[in-house]
Amino acid sequence: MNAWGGRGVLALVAAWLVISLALAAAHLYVGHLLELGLLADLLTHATVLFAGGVVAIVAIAIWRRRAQRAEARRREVESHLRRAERLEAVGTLAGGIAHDFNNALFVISGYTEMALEHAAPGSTLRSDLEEVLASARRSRDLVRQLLAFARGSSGERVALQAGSVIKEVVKLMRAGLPPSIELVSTVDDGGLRVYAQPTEVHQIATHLCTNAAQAMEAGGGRIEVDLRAVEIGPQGDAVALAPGEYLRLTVSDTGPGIERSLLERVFEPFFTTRAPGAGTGMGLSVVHGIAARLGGAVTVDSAPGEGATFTVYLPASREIRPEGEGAAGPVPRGEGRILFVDDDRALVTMVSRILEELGFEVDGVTDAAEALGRFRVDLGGCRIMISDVVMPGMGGCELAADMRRRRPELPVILCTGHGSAAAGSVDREEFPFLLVKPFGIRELRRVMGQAIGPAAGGRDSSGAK
Amino acid sequence: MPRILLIEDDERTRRMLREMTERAGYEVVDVANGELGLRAQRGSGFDLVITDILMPDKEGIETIMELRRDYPDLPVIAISGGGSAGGLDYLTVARSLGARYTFAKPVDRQELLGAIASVFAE
Repeated sequence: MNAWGGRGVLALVAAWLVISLALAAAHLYVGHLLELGLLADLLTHATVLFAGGVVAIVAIAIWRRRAQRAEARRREVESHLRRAERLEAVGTLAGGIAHDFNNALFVISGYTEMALEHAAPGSTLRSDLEEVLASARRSRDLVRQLLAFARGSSGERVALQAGSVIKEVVKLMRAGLPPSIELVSTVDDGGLRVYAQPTEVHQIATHLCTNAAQAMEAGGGRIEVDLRAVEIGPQGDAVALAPGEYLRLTVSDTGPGIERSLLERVFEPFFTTRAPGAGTGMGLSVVHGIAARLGGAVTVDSAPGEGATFTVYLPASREIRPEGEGAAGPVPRGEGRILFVDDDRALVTMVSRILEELGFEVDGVTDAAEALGRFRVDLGGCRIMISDVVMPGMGGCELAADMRRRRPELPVILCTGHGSAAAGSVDREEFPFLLVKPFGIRELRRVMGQAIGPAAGGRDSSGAK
Repeated sequence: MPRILLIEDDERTRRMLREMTERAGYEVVDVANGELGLRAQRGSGFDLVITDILMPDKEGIETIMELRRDYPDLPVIAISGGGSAGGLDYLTVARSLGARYTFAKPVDRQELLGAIASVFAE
């Protein structure tokens, strides 16, 4: 807020009060004592005009203040979305090349391992081949980190007590820190559970703490780790998260801080301010990838000489889902017709086959307009619609909204890629069931159980299929 | 001698995997996609199938489903390079469909040969 909007308004109001009182006194004095009617009327009008002007100025100042606030928030959200989209593009690119790259690496490491069988122990040939193999493995690890950023690691998610994972990371980190770096932590998850793989939360905390420790390698300092439950209201905040309960992990350091111009780039893969060879620059990208995949977000706040604070928000819930097998929840029985929409033909074929294996009848289509056409032909025949959010032409949200206008109780599951940009565009009150790619069969069944289990009345079974 | 059917679309990877398994003492037949793999299995039953996941024509998940349906006792090892078409977590799906072992490429030779040996030891 600028000075004209704050102190300026107060000064104007004060001046208006003083001048109005003076005019009122003059009115009384001049009008009644001297009985000069014309002058009294002029003074009255002047008073009214002056008061009206001041009221208008105050109203404009308040309006400007609100407009400036809304504009600032819009810019922050836009900047966040731009960053998320940029990172998503890098992730898609990485996912696209990883398959071919892994094949090439497999051939290199496979032949090297076979050649090693014939290399005499202690020979130059053996040590050369071992170097080739070590490099192939380093490359493999790098591709895996890129994939972890792009589309997530495999494995099933559970209702996780993130607090115990963070405590474990703090304990491990503390053991490896030099004496010049102090690590303090406050961990209270407030009984909230995060639906995640333990390794995902472990990686977030480890990368952030390692990053903080590396920033203070030279001069030492203090790392503060704080985990707590927070609630984000309908107004949200700069990270454009859906309203609801979150666990907020904050990792702060007292290191040299980050230039403001570099803040936007710290989550990009391979971005590093460290010396060449001192780090891959993947740690913060992996944190961003995991947070986005879990439906959360990560922000950074820093200035040169003032350390850095990284804040991760992860959606959390008080609901305790059973661990392990039970995490799949009630499993809908395989009956009825499912409309599955995704512009990726290979994915449609695969998911359709899986759903058919589960006993459903599946209409798999790659185009929203075609899906809408099929839906209109038999409005009541579709038991549930599962659609990708981002598709050429009509997107999943628009498609679902159109279908809901025709059949308001239609169960809908929307699927998004790892990026928070698409997930953020979904109205979670209207469409609460979201599948984040990549998903496994159990995850698919779990969300289907949530979407049609309770709503399908007697048609569902809680027995595992 | 135990017989292995190898399904892999990438020619160099296929050749390398074939050499690796043959040198370990197995008889190996290799094909370039799932359709050819199913045809080979129908023609001369194998003791183990090692299949890639992302392949043209008939990809690995579909192949595993059909193999599990028609030959429920036939062990399958799935190998995926990850990435590409996105969407499902292929190896988790392969495991859910009954693949005995799943590996992300590039696989360590010892790990793969160990898995093959343990399948045949059962």
